[in-house]
Amino acid sequence: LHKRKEEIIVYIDPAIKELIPEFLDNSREQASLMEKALEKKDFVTVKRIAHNFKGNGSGYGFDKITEKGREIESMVIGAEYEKISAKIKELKKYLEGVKYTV
Amino acid sequence: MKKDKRILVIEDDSTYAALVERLLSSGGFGVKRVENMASARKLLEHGNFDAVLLDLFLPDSSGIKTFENVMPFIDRVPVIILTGTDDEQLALTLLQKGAQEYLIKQHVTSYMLIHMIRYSIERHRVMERLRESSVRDELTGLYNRRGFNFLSQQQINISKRNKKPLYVMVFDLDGLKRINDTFGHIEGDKVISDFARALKKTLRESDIIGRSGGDEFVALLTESKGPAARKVVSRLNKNLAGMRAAGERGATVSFSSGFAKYEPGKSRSLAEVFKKADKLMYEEKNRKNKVGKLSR
Repeated sequence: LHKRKEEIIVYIDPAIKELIPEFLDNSREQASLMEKALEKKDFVTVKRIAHNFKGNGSGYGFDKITEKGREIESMVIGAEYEKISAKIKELKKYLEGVKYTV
Repeated sequence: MKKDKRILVIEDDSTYAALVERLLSSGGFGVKRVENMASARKLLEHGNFDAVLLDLFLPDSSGIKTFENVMPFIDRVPVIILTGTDDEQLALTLLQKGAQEYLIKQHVTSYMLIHMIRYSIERHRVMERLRESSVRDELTGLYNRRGFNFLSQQQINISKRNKKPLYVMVFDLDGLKRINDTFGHIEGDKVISDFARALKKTLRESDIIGRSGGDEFVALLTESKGPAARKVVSRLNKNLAGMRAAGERGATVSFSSGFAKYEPGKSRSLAEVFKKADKLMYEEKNRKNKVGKLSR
């Protein structure tokens, strides 16, 4: 039980604490946009948003977001629709459940 | 208190920009952010920044091209790449082209970011000093041969584009050897630096002046018209006489000079034009020597 709890609580740099709520709101929004873009087979937009997730996640302290962004970005090359769709759902689920503390 | 260092952040992703702006201001930096290359270039042409943080993928520029767009400014300001693209080959290519650092967004920590910027600024300063000293003649502060050739080549390119001629002058001090032998090298050096000072006073800020050898000087007149360039010698003599009268000058020597025109499309190369000016200068020197011998 302890281990699972550790996984979902992210430790944040106090210097950027106030930026986190907006970052997470933004990320949820971007994840939805990415999902819509995928439905329209707009892989350029999917790649761009995934690339941004990759760059932003760890910077804000959320390695998982970077990891998922990287995975999605690499899947775009093969246009693996189903895999990308599943990965975006994982990301959205993570963004809904994630907790953080300084 | 010392003024904050100003960083230009070129980043189109506002989420990442918000993070960087926060980290930089808590690190004591002032920040200006732009979202595309067009605005970045406009600011770099006029603004004074201590460093640039550059994202490679922008709405109006991407990849290596993005760095090439800021390359005209890298002698003035250190450019640090900050990108999501983890590509070692790309990183090496950009460092060879003159980027100070290649940082990857998902790997860089706030501590690293702040320190890499500080170190880049210092490293850039050292490079600037080295570059400056590699193109300057220590005694006179004029360009040395390397610096003169480099800047002249730039002017040749501009001249070819604008189809405007350039004027080349060479100067050689008469009898410096005798000064050195009679009064010593310190006095000889003084004669050289006095002459350099007079040249600077005589020519324009936009002209390129170099010391090409012991007692040889070269100048590339970039904005003169022919007749004005022809008057350089008399103005130079006037300035030398003025310095002497004001007691700003020690031993006096005369000089010989040659003058030639570089015409884009007609002249084969700058070297050829210099050869022509050199020839005229030696002709003058030989005439003087003959007169000297006859009158002795």
